[in-house]
Amino acid sequence: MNTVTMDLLRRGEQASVVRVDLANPSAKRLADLGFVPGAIVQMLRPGRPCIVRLSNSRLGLSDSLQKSVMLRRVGD
Amino acid sequence: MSAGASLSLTTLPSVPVRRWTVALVGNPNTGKSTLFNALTGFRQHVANYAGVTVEKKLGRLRAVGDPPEVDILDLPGAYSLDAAAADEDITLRVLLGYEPSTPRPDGVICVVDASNLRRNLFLVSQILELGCPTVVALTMTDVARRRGETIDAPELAKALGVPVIPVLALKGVGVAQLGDAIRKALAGQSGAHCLKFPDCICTALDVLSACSSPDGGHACGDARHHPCRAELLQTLLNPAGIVEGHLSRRCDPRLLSALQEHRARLLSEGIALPTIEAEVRYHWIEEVVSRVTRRDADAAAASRSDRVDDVLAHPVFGLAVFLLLMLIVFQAIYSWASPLMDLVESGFAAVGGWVEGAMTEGALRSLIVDGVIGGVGGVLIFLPQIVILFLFIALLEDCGYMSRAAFVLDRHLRRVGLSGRSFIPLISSFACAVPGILATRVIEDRRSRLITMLVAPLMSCSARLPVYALLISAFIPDTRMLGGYVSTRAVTWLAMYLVGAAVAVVVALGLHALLGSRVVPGLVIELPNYTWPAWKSVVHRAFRAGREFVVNAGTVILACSVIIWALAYYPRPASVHAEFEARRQALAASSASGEPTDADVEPASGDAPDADLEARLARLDAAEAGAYLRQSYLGRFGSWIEPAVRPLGWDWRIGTAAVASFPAREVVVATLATIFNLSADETEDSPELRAALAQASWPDGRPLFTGASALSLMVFFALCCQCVSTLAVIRRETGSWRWPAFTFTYMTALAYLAALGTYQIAIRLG
Repeated sequence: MNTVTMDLLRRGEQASVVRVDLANPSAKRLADLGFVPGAIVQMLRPGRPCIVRLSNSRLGLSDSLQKSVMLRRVGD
Repeated sequence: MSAGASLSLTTLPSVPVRRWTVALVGNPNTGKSTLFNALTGFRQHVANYAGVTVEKKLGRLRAVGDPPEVDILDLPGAYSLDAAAADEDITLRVLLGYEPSTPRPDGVICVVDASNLRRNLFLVSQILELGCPTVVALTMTDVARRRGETIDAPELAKALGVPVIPVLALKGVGVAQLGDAIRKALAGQSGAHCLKFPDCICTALDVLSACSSPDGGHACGDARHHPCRAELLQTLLNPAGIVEGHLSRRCDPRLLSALQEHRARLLSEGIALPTIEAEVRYHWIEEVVSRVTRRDADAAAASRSDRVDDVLAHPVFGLAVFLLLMLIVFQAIYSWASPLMDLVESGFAAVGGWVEGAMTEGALRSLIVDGVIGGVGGVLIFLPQIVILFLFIALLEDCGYMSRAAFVLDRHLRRVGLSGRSFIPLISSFACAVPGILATRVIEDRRSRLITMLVAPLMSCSARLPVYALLISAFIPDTRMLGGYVSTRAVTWLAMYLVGAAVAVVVALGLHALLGSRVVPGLVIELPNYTWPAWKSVVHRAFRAGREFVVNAGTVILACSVIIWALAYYPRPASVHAEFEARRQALAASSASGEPTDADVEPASGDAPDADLEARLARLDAAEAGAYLRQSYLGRFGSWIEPAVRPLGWDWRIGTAAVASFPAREVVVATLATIFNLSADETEDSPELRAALAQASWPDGRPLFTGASALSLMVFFALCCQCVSTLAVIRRETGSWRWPAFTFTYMTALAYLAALGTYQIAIRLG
């Protein structure tokens, strides 16, 4: 099982959340917004910050947050 | 639940009939404001929470049923009860009844965006635990349908245990049913709907609620507050949150130590405290969503919003679009407002002229014409521009652009120690620094929050608008550039805004280095779908901003105008009058005899003795007015500071106006109007301030205002911190006088130096 951080996703790729790094002070915020294990994330525009789709919302995430979300690519 | 609220209401003798208050809560971008407007029909009352300038909007539910009446309280949008931002903080405090000025609501309308059910249900699940009568308003069902999803409202109601009413607020669909449903819910019984948390958490909650209940093991010391289960859950899972802060003041200290113990135990059992709540809730949400959602078709691969974002959220194009938009906004403010401003201006001129004709000369006439009409009228002229500015801000926010701008600017703000989160406070500061500084509460990082607060007053707020508008229209020539589409005035205007922003960058960088560079925590921001703005609410917001400006002009500015007028009018020693009376008589006598006298201001030309006499008398009148003003309290103060403001190209009158505008910047326009009316170089007082300023001159006859001195005055006002409210709010937010003192000092010093530089460079360049 290959986990990657969000900043490694390519445009259009989908992945499911494995966990959020609790060391990040924004961990609870991310979890409350729906970044919980199993949630599907699609990378809409990689970059710093990037745009992802999470369920039906579009969220902008800056660099440090992307690095603290571990995902598994869908299909891996 | 509602016992506390009903008790406090019935003890109020002025409320004969019981009234219900229903809180309107929901995520941001769910159409909550539109629904609020539809429910209340714009019969709204806007106030602020005690000690906080977060808007508290209250409206009366349109009467459809029998009394009691229902008041709707629109709470700021929130994703979660666990506050990350000041706004969310208010939502939780009101819902739990912690807000002293606001009784705990009797019921809740929870707005749920059907096109984004998962995330919206997170807040719903938290609300349901509070045990208030609750109704869910399901919005955006049309958007969901376009995505190929249908939400089964009755099924959702069954899953949540509360009524679910689909509404399309703009079309008025479901609004009346929602009103009925909340009335019914208020009249009925309700219970808390709690999710199944892991056993260890439930055990902890049981123990905690036993030890905090009045008849429990340790009764609370003052036995006033017995936290409900939802409060205990929030405290347990959010150390150092609002609930814990509140309970620590109200409850037995033993409860707090018990909380610590239980948290430690949960951690040792491998429960990830920060995220367990989300995991449990989203687990439940997945079940609910799968039960109530029917997928009719696969969603399109890329929505229209995604394609728009390819440009607007692009790191390079997005930035270019942002700058272009700002230029358009300023150009529009300028060109659209002028005809309206001319209208207001000529209106005040007419009123001033009429009063002048109707009253006899004296202190009262001077107070009304120079102080009140001149001062307040001078400021009210800018009403059209304020309204247009707010129209644009509301428009850009409503269509979903603002969050894109924050997104695009994040990386740039990050370099100077700020973040995309600083963008909303900073852009709000273009309207007013006070809400801007309060909005810095969304910034979790203390250091970037402090830096944002300290630079926010550098953004050109709407109070500076009158200053720019006045000086630009009077002293900057209207030349067309770039093929005639852009005027030099609009460019000057934009330049003033950019000066503030550019200086803010430098100051932020300096503070960033001074306070020690550090990584700024990340940004997470929702980019809602682009929508056509709801014109009604956009117009309504602009209207409210305009009304606030008028009220402010009628109170603060009126008071300042009267004070300035009094300081500039008194004392009026008889000696001045006697001296000029003597000179007038000498002039009249000499003109009768045909000989020039030394009483004359200038040598007479000899021709047309009657007209000449009149002109000479007029000049004497003006000289008298000037003499009065010079020896008034204000004049004495002015000559004292004149040496300091001379290098900026200002005379004592401008210097005095600048100093006197310490309470609020826009007062400077009123002050200028009062001073220049009183010293009117022409015989007829003219409320047309622009004309008065253009005619003002140095004692040697050179025009007082040139492009250079107007620019220097504008730069001064772009950078200075002439605003007591801003300083007060910085004091409140930082908890010490050190930072407002610092802000005032650095901004005033910067403003002075920059104005000095501007003037000296401008006169050398011609």
